[in-house]
Amino acid sequence: MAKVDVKRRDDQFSDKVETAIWKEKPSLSNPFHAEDIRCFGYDHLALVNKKSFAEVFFLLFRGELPDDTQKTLFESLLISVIHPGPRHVAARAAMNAAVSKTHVSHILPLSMNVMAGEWQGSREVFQAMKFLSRNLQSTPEGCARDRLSALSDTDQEGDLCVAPGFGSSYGTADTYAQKLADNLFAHCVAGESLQWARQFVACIEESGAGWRVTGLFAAALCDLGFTPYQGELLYQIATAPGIAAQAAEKSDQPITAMPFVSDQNYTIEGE
Amino acid sequence: MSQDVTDTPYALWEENRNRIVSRQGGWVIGKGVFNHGFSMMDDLVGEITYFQQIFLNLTGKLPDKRLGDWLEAGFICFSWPDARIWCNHMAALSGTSRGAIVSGVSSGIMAADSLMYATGVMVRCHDFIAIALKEKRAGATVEEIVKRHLSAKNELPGYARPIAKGDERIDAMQRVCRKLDIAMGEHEALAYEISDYLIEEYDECLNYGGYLVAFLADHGFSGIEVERLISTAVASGLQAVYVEALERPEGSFLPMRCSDVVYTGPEDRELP
Repeated sequence: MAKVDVKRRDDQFSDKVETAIWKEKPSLSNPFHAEDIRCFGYDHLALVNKKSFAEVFFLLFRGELPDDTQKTLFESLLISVIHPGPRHVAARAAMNAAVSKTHVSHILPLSMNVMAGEWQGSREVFQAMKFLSRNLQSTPEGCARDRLSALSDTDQEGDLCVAPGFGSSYGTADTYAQKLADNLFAHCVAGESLQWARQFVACIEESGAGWRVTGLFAAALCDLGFTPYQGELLYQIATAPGIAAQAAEKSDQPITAMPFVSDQNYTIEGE
Repeated sequence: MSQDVTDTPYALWEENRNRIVSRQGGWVIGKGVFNHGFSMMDDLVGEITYFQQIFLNLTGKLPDKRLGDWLEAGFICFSWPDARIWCNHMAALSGTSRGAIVSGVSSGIMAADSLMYATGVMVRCHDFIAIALKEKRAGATVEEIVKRHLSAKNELPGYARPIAKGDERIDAMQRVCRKLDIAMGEHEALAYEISDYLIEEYDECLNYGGYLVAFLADHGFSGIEVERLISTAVASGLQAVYVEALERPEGSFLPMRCSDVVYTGPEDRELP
């Protein structure tokens, strides 16, 4: 290969960070302190005193406060996924780290890493939102037929994934995800994506598939105007409380408080 | 009496409850630690290098020591003690805020899983050079290969890099290969041919990722295997910048005044 001298490119990097989210008016006594803070134009202290956590959470990502319909759906959604349950891989990672005395600073970061998967994790939310946005213009029936037909040509071990966020969970449709969906539809106003997804689920039920929690979360976030990128971040934040609580509960317990597979049940292939 | 679950839809998961079957190995307490059939304490410790073990653990195959030495040199090329590099920036920010070293290093390793550089680009780089070699074997010229890929995807993974043109790491690794007496393969040779063409036509050239995947493709590794092999390669650079930031006053790594951030959002407004 010809010798190439290393030369700096003529990139023009920003001198300052730009943001439309947060405005900090500097203090007269110290330019590193803020005197007043605004979030998308609203006084931070006014938000502290008059708005709920979920409303300000919504504002941070969408740039506007939610209206009453959006607020109801968003709050219901956040509580729907507030805990993926103690059997979820991320919660188990958190609990195992807690009993093995991992530095508490690492508990949420490490469990969020585990939460980031394509199966029951935040990546599935991202992919489900992409799937929904790409297919919303087609009929749920046609889309379900095409995807089930494509699946029938494969013989894959494990769960049936008709589309990201929609499939089986441990071999059958997830019972509780269906209940969460029914509850949201009963108490909130469902938009175009949730309606489409509900019809899609109806078309895949016979194959043993259904809602996954990630698919429900994704459909609701699409209706609320979030992007897939935002959706993946929101799922990690939304599920963190339950995972953190599981770790905190285990923090003063011994390593024997969590299962450790016995030697008899640990098989090394080829031994 | 236990229920027979073999015909249930959840049989796969039922079979794996409280049970691990490993093809890698494991710790047989009182007998030893086993890894792909080797007794780790007897056969591996002191007998192979850590970088040979990386290959063994990720691919199940124990490579020639020279390949392990090559990967070790390759890791050095990934680990620069410069806190401006994006992944290193995470570690420096962690150090200046007095985070634990593991927080800083793991943040940087995650940051390097990027669509722009390091771990996250390896599969795309591999896919390109693998397809390019097939096309060359089928009779395509380098010019045809480059033009076809640029018109189809408007990118050539493995070529050009952020911040600078040229890549000093390729020369260094070629020197390592000469020292280790490792011959050049077809993928690597084509990578250089394409680079020479790009230098002439576009003033761009092969980058380190493109070199790595071409070299490892010649040794039979896939893109996803390359991604796995280098997944922690930035760690040493992260450790370096973390420690430096930690040893300086807290908060002193690139502190920002309020006025260093430009607000571009809505005007001040009252709550509805």
